[in-house]
Amino acid sequence: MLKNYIKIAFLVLMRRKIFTFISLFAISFTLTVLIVISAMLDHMFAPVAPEVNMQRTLGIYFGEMKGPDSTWNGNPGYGLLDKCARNLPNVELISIFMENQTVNSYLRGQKIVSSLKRTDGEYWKILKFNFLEGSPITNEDEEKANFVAVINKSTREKFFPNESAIGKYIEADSQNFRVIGVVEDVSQFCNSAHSEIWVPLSTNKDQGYRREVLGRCVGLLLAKSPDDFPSIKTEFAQRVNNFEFPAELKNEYNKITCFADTSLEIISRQALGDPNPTKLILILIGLMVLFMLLPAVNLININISRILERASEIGVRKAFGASSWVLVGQFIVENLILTLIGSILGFIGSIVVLLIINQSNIIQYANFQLNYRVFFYGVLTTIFFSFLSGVYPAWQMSKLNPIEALRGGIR
Amino acid sequence: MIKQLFKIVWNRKKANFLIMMEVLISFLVVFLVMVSSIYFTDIYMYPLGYSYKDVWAVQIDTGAYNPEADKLKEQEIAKKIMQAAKDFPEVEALAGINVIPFDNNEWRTGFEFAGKSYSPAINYVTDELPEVLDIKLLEGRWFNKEDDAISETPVVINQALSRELYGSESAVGKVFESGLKSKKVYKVVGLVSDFRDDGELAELKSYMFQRNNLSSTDTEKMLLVDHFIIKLRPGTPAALEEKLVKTFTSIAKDWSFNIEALEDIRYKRMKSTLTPILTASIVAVFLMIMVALGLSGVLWQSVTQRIKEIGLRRAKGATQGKIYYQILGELLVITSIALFVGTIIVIQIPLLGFLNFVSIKVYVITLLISWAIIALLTVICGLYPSSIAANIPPAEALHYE
Amino acid sequence: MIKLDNIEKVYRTSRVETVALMNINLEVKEGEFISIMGPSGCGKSTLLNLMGLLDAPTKGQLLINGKEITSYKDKYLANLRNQEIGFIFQSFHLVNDLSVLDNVEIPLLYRKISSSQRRQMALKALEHVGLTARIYHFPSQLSGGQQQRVAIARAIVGRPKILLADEPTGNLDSKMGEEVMNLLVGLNEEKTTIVMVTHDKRMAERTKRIVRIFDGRQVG
Repeated sequence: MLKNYIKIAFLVLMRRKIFTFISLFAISFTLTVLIVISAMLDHMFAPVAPEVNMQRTLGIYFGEMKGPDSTWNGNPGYGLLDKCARNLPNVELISIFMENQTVNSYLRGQKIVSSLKRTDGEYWKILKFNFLEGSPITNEDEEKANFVAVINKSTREKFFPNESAIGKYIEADSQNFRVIGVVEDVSQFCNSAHSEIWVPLSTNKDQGYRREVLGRCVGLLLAKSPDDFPSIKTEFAQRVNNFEFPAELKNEYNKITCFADTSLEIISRQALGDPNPTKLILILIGLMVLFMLLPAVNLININISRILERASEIGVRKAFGASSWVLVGQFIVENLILTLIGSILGFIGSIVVLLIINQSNIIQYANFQLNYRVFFYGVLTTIFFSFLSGVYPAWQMSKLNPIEALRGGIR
Repeated sequence: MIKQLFKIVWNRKKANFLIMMEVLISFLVVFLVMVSSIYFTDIYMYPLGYSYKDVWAVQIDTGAYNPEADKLKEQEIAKKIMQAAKDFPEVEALAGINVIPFDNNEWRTGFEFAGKSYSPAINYVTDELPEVLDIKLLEGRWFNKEDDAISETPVVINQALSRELYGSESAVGKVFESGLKSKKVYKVVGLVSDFRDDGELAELKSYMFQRNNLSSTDTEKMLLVDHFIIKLRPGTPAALEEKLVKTFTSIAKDWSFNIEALEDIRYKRMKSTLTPILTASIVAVFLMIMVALGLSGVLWQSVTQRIKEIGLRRAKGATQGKIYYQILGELLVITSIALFVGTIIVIQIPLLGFLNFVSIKVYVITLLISWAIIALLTVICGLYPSSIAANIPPAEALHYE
Repeated sequence: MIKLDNIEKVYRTSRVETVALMNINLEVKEGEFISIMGPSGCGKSTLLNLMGLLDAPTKGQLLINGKEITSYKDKYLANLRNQEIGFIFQSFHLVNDLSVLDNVEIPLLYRKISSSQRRQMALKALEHVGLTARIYHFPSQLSGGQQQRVAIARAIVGRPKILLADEPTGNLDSKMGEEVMNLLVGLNEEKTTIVMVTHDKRMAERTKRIVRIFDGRQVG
């Protein structure tokens, strides 16, 4: 039976080239868009190098100070993190580093703009960078304020084309650093890992950052297990609550809050100001469904036309003993084959689109790729889509009266 | 004729419903993409109010926030740096500015006036700004030494703020109070057409310049210069940047300096605004191609299905042209129903409080253009099926009786 | 073979109610060849559709091959049609996408038969109508008469006891019509029961019995 279904399906698809083409265009285009979006989301949330420990990591990105007249929102400062985030129970490692700063370097009359991140030694233990050469910044570098730097591959290409960078010096923000390591480029989407030049925190020009309550630092906590997140969060919140304001701020502010968030919560807080990601996920799903609405209605229309076009055939088959379900099966197989071909085209399309996005560098160093997870999402959406656009027409067909089918199918 | 068309469409309502849905959703997609494109096109047309050619912005980063820092000393260093920049022969003019053009930062100040509260954007600038950015005054004058003697705080405002405060009256010379705790008294000394510091693609807003007097020694009123901008001789090479930074660093070792051409900041800002719109437009174009293909297929099929009916009409004396326009007319009836429903939906959007920044003018233009696009799209889809229908010979009808 | 007992068929739309058939009592015996005659729109096609289980009567009792039709559930009817009845239509209704052989195999697809056996049976049926030379042609490559012969092959391939033919010669010229009629008569002689709707008197005269319908009523 199935063999017959498939045989007839191919015959029909080959004969009705216009409809086949229209359907394939709609399916492959829709899937291209969906797969590209899935690839981007996957790229954002999947624990790939250097964020291999993402599942066990909490980030401290947001703080707020309040006083009778003023509110200050911003990154936590080193002073606050140093006091409250260290030695939390069930936390294996803690890193404090500065948000990226844009620095200019001048090389043979050319200006090179780079992102620079000042980090401690622990940073390199929580995030696992792929080193092309050399080694990471250590705690000792941080303590002694050694002027050493880790740079990424693209920066090496800019400063030292086609040669090793280890031991050479680069100037950034009028400071001179000796290169001790070169890492693979890291995508802009990896919030805490992305940069182009990494140097020890203590090399910062002005040492005032050590006292900042809110400022420009980020805390990264590596928990023993995700199960410990709630207790870590409460303990940290409590410590922040008991934080003693330095004298110069006491007049203006009297209350401070600061949050340790998972990566999803960080994005949700950034986008909606609410750490609960449910809303964000719902909005994303809603947008996807909204986008799929038009292709789905379009496909339903084409599918109904395809069925009506073959009304005569359906009438004949019914007259000669095909039950409605047998015909529905036939149609679903046809639809599945069509979606299958469409999704193969969609995958090819999305590879091309992702290649263009990667090449254009709209998102710095992003390397969107298709992997088995994205493939899985793709297959899932394909099935959902095929179902969405195939079920209503199939139901319509099963109701088709054989007499009317025979009459309407004339020609 | 039209009544009959409606009747035919109604009698085939089940078949037509999904086509109508498709047209309706297409209209909504087109509308949403068009509303943003037209909004930005419209806003782009307004004058910028200054020129960014050959201007560089210098950002001074003095390090951590420290309330105890010696502000006077810092001010002196900043002034030294500015003087050093001025001494370069390539630098034609220099001015201190609080919020540099095209940057994401924004400062606002609040005050009450005639019982209403206002919060215009505010920028603290020095007397030389018009030379650097080629700002033309419509009325009054820019800040100068005269202001040292005035007891009020001198301000230069843009037309939007002038209109908000004084309507069609001239604002220059008028005095108003901040009305808040500080009880500041402002005096309008000049009027500019506009100063769109967020660039051509940002919303229009009311704007106010306040004078930053660097020679003042009043630490309470003093505002540290954290940015300044320099006008360069045309054709100055980028290599000057390095020299500038070296000079600045030699004066203030602990400070960081970041120099960027305004043109580059503008480009980045534009790119980040336009990329999502462009992406949405590309997706929308593909969606419309898909809809056009789908609709043509559906219409073609429905014409072949209706051969008998059409043949009968031909046999009863309908001309080819009449059939042609009947099929097109049916399609237009479906389209206009969809557009009607779509318009009702679209009108709800601002009523529900979304898209409020879009002016009625832009909204109406968008509606008209979206109608035109959808009507054109459906008519193009209908042309081929209609001509097939028109070419059905009357004999076909009899053939199937 | 077929027994219609007080059959009534009414079509209802939201506004109008049309009586298509009233008080039809008819028995078709095994081996009979009946033609149903009447003017256009008298309900003769509706009658044939009821006998072919393509439509359900509004009222009355129907027996096919001694089996009483108790349920009008889709699957049950589909199975009965497949086993007992073969259809021949005025406009042939061959599936244009399929070859002659595939067209003839259609009724067998819905039985549990191996593909080799299917093919054997289809070839036999085609031999019966004299079209073995054209099994790989598509319907569009055949003349009207040939197409109707393929349709007849399709109707008899499952060896049904009853053949229902709706104006089988209506779309054919007289020579081809004659050929098709000869085939049907031959099939009847081989003990197939045939019910044929026609308004061609010459064709009706070649059958064993004529039933006339006028305005939804049986008149003789």
